[in-house]
Amino acid sequence: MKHISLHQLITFQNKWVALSKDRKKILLAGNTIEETQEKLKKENIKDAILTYIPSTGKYISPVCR
Amino acid sequence: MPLIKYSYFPNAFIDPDSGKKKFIFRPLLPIAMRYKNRSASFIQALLDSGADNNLFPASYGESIGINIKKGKLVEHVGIGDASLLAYEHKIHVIIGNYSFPTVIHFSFSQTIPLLGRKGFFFYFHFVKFDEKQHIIELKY
Repeated sequence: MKHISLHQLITFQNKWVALSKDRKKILLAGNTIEETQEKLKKENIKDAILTYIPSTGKYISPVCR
Repeated sequence: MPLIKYSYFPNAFIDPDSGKKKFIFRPLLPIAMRYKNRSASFIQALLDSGADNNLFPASYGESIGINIKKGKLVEHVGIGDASLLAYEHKIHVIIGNYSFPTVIHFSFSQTIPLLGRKGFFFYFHFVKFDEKQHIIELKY
């Protein structure tokens, strides 16, 4: 199954990104949820999905940043 | 009973010892929220069967007009000595064609949105993690 490349995921680590509806493309990115939402509004994109791209060298556990 | 099905979402992981880059697939689901006739953008949240409640970044709640600090103050603990404060709010969660009223805790110290047992898993007959195929199934 085709999905976002490793290169892109590494490039956008620690950023909020807007994904296409099928979650296979990164449309744009921002440093915060607000910044990303602002960019979406400016571009008039309404059906994007926000997601946080975590740091590539860390494991995720609940309640940690 | 309707079934909602999503594939896991890929993240990148660089092994700290070998430096090798690889995918790590996580059970992240796109959900949206509705609060007083305002809807928020879809956002991916981590399905966390170890979490008691839903925990979201405060800024996401603020984007649909929730006055975060007006909610009941609650405390979350997790790994090690870490704890954080959050504020409880009643909202509607939307996933696929399914929508239900629930409680979300919003915190100014949380980045990754978490879907926990009481506020999310409870609303489904079952939540299945297929770790081999990287598929999540939720039946309601």
